[in-house]
Amino acid sequence: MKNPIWALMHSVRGRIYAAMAGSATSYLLNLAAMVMFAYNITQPQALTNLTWLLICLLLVAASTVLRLASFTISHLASYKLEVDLRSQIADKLASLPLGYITEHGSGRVAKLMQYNVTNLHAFVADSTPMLAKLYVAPLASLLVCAVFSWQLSLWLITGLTVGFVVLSRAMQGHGDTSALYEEKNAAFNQQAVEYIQAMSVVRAFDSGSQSYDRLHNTTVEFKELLTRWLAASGHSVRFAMWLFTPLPVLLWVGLGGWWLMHLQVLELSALAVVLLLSGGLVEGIMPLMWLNHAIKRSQVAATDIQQMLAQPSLPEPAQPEPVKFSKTPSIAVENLSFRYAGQQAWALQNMSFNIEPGQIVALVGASGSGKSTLARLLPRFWDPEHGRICIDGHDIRHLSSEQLMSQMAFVFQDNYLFDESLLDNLRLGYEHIDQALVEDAAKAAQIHDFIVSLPDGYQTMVGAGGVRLSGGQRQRIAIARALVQDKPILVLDEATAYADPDNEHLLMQAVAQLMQGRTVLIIAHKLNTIKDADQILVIDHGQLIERGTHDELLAKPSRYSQLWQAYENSQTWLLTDDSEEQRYA
Amino acid sequence: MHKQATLWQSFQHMRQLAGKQQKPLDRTLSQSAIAAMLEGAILLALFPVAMLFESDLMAGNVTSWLIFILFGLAVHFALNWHALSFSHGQPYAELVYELHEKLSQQLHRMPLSRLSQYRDGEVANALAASVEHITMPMGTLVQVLVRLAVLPCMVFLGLLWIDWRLAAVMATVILALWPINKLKQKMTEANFAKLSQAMINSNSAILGYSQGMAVLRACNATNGAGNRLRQRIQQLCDIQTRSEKRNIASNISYGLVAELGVWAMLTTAVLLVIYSDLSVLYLPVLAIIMLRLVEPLGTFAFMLPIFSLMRLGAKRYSDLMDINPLPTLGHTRQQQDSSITFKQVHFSYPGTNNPAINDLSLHCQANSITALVGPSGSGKSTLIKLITRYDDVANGSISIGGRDIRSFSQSELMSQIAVVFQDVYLFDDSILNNIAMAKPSASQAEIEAAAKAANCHDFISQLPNGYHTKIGELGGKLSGGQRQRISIARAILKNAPIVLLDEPTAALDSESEIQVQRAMAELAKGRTLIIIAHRLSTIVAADQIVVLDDGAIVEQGQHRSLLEEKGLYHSLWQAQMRTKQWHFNSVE
Repeated sequence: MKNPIWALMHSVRGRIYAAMAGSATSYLLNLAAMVMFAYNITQPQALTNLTWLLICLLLVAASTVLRLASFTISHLASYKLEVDLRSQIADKLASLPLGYITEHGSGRVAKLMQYNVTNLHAFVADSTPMLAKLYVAPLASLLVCAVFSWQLSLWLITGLTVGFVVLSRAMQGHGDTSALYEEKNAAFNQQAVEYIQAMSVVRAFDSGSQSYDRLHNTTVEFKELLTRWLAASGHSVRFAMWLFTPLPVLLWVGLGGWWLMHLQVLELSALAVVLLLSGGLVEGIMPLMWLNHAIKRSQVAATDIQQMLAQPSLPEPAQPEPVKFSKTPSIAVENLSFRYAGQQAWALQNMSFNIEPGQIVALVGASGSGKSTLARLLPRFWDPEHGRICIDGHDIRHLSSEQLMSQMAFVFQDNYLFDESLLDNLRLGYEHIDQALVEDAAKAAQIHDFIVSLPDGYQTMVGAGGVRLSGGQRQRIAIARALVQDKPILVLDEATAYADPDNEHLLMQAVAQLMQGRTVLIIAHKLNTIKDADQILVIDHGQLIERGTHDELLAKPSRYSQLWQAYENSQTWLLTDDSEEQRYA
Repeated sequence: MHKQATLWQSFQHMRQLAGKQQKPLDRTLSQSAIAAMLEGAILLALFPVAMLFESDLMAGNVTSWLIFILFGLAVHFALNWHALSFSHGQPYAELVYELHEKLSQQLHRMPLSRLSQYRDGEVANALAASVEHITMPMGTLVQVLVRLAVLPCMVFLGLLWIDWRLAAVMATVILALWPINKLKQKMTEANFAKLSQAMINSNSAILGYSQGMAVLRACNATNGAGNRLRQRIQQLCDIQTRSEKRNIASNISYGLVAELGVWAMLTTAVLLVIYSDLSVLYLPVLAIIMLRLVEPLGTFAFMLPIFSLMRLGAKRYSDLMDINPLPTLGHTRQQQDSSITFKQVHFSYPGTNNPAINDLSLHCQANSITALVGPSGSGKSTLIKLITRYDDVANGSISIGGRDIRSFSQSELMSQIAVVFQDVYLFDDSILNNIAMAKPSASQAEIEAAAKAANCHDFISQLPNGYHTKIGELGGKLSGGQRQRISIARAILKNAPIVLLDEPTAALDSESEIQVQRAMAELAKGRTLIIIAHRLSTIVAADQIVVLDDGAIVEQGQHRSLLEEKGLYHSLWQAQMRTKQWHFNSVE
């Protein structure tokens, strides 16, 4: 059996083997008790000395305790495994390029750590002891039967073979159909989720029930598939399910036994033993079928986990050299080319520029031009394919994460806040910093007044159980956080994107505070905000096409002047009419 | 017994959910019950058969028993065959279909305000999967359960007939299991609250860790956060381990009583053979029957998780189905035009005390532009949602052309309104279908005309498959502005007399912003428009500007007069003008 779970289980493999051995042994002890009982009750002299009966009871007691113990062992091992795997995934996540999360979505990563790991439980805790038993049971039972009567065993095996032929006929094409079933079922679930989440849109535009039809069609398709499947396999499955119940087997063995006794080649004791064991033989098959479902699910879960753990980590030097950075470092981007994994087209191509210490450099261009990609290469979300980025002359790939991050703060569009107090959020990673300093940062970021207006002030909890913050407030907290950290390089990507219109100016002031005295790379769609930049870099289709100051770039016909014109127009536009005379001055 | 009760309740619940298929299900269950009785009878018939070994095995009366057994087996087969026709035949397919259909109809009918509680990905997923969880155990597993209940009863009756003392031992064993089982139940329940809290803690820690990874790295805080996460995960493991260990004693005593109980009966039988008049030939038969009873008890443990999935799924499904749709009132007045009137409207969101809309009255004339302005949380979005009957007002009324919106059917109401939302939702379907959903009868030319008016025809035509490109294929390649324009094309195609527009605030680059703005202007032409304006300059020429604060109108009028009032609008305007002139050197 090739199951990826076995590979993931290595930290608890010993315990699992112990649980499986315990479960198998427990079955054997029980088997011994049954054989002993069946044999002795057909021996007249056994009824005078009941020692064997006492042994039977002891065997059963031992078997029961051992069986339960093995389940306890496998459950405990499974809990430990869950901790181990979650820690491994967490560590891996911390070492992967940040781009991995951007590409896969943090929700999927979290799901991997929660549900996929939980899904393994069904296999590790419940199935492993059962599996051991299910493998040992038929072998041991048949062996014992053969010892008592090889003729009757042969008869039994013949019957079982017929049963399995019927069963395998029933299961013919089962794999394909069940894959199709899973697919259609998943399609319904996905569309239902889409339907739930987009219901306001569906209602607003659903005059002809078109989107409802999408869901309806899937439902109908699913029904047709089920009907076809059940019509094709229903009869043989029904037959097989009956065949593997104790009654037919008892009858089969009984008839065979009767015949063999008639031929005088079978003892009554042997018949009793075989009858007793054969019932249990078939009853193990049904749980195996139910188990299959759980095993399949855990296999899928395990494969995903394995793939994630096999992702290459962001390469870092094993022994980073100690580096002394200047107070305001310079940044050099040299012949930089980058494309996303699996993409032909370059996202950034042969780009070179310098940012002098303390300079403010703005990246400008249409959406999709590559600005954000460039901004994310600085904190090493990904590494470039060609060229390099240097801080104070040091290639960032030769720095440790700590060294790199000690120089650089970034504020992007969405800034995650943790389910902790505002204070802890503000001094994340800098827990030793004085609250007074944090408050200074919050004041500079224009968020202090808001925080102290809350009943619990800086101790207010953020998140599900705490205060709900608007987009602009979250961004000001992220800016305050960057101020607390006081790093010399600042990367801002649309740091004002989710501003609330009524307090946008507060956010702007916060950003201005943050930029002072730092080396800054900034991206903003609102071009007026960056027109004072020391250098404006215009990016188009991944290439650096123009550079200069605002005035220099406007002085000649340029891509920048087009963008500026578009910006001006968008700012003075009126909903009712775009004719000139209605524009307000 | 507590467990039996809930098992019984969920059994009843399952029957109820079967709906039209309840009769076939009941038939299946009764067939299974009869089959199990027959199985018991056949097993018990082995007692007299065994007695035949005492006399000559080949004597004449063996045939009559053999005929009974063979005949019984044939009937048993037939009953099982029929019983399985539910789970392995047409009724099952019908059942799945009906549950799916009822679910989608309910989603379409229930109030949006209630549905919004299901929007979270995990919740929606669980709801969608509930049908699978309900139907999975119906049929096969339930039949196993019926057999488990019926067979011991038959055996007990049989034993009364064979030897009452054996029946007495059996009764004693079952009575002894009762309190132990109850104790087990209690311990599980006691632990449940702690366990689920630990699970919630660990889940939220995991979520925070993955969502906040970029921030953690930027702050060099991965180690600390990783340790905190490990703590939470370890806590969960500790609680699980503790409860597992605490259950050892009760598990083992239950297991020992059950297994040794069966063997106590066998022992009693042996003693009865020695010291009383029980035939020795009964012993193997008794062993066969009793050990058959123990075996399914083991498989029962396997089915329990599947049943608890069913129980949860059934609850989730029924809770949703129990939500009533908003009532439709009988209408008294004919609709005059496409004007919109709010009359003393009060509204609070469920579960809150603060009114979101507080005694608000407003009239928007047909074919006029009304702009809603105000700080975030002032009630602008709520007002727009209420026009689409997201939920019903607590007090007062909203009417279109003089007719209360509660008297329209959902489709009548929605046929008059086109909405452009802040967050655009595109279906994982072709662009064509995403636009055409507003008017399924539209020709390709009409759709293209709408796309042209919304400024999105050009970029759509440039896609490799043009209008037939699937949204999913594009992945994240559509920009925010392009998505906005597709959603506006949808609204233009709908050609409804009323347009509700929530101006996008998300950062668009100026070139796409202009295109979105032009598309919005096209949409606004000749309709009753209510717009939530984030940029005040956009709505300078609106017929009326309504300034909201705390769910009430604080100012109302046209741009110039509002500026002269020097109230809230004036200060909002000033703030925005300042921002517009702002650049980062202006602080210095």
